[in-house]
Amino acid sequence: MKENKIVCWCARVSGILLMLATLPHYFLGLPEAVLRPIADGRITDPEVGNNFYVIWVFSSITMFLTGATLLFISTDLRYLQRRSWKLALLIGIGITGFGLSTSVKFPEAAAHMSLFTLIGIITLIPVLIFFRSYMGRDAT
Amino acid sequence: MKGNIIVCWAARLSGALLILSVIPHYFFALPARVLQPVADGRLDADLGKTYYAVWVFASLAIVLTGASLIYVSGDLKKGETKSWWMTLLLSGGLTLYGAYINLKYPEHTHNIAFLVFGLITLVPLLVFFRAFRVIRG
Repeated sequence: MKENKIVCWCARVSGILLMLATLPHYFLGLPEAVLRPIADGRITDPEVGNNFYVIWVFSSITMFLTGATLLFISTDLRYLQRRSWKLALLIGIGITGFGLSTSVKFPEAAAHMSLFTLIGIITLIPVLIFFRSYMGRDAT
Repeated sequence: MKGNIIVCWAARLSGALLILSVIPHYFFALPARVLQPVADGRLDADLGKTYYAVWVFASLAIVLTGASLIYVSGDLKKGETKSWWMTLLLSGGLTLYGAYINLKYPEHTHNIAFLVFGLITLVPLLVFFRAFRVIRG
């Protein structure tokens, strides 16, 4: 059976990095970027503070789930499953696009946001380079 | 109808609803809940940038989580054990988030949607857990 270990392992590395990124995002980012500004009065409207907290928690959870999805599809990517290639492409474009767009929009946060670009590119580049493997006769 | 088919369609429904929910989340809630408060000075400008970035990431993650549920539905149909665990993680995460936020902020009634999206998949997944015995490979 034909397989592609490079795409598989790149998706695994991206997935693990994304899941690990949840730890600083939730345990360091939430107190520093959300709870402290609320306590310091930098957010004057309590409703805005609540929304900020809610969206931060949601982002942490979905970041972990997206990483887990990359790990889940990595085996299908290894065995050239076409639909796994499409999902990896979507995730790769999504994370890379998010990282790039926020880095361009907010250059002062580029160092931080480039981590997302890097995580996305680790999946996206091999997915694009080896796309013929997933479109050929060996694909399932 | 077999349990795995019901769970497969439940995951597809949850995934589709989740993907559709990005429309109000990005096109209506972002201007009303992020851009307007920043313009009104209800939070400082630097914080507004972080708030904006997190909101955009959440919109992206909604689409990716919905797409993941639709993806995994194909494996659920085959009764694969691994897909059952992945779906438990996806639907359990959504359900716990929805339940937690509704308990913490009962006034955030729209967040009940995430609880519903999670439960649509989680309940049949748990009810028909015996239908997932296929180990791939």
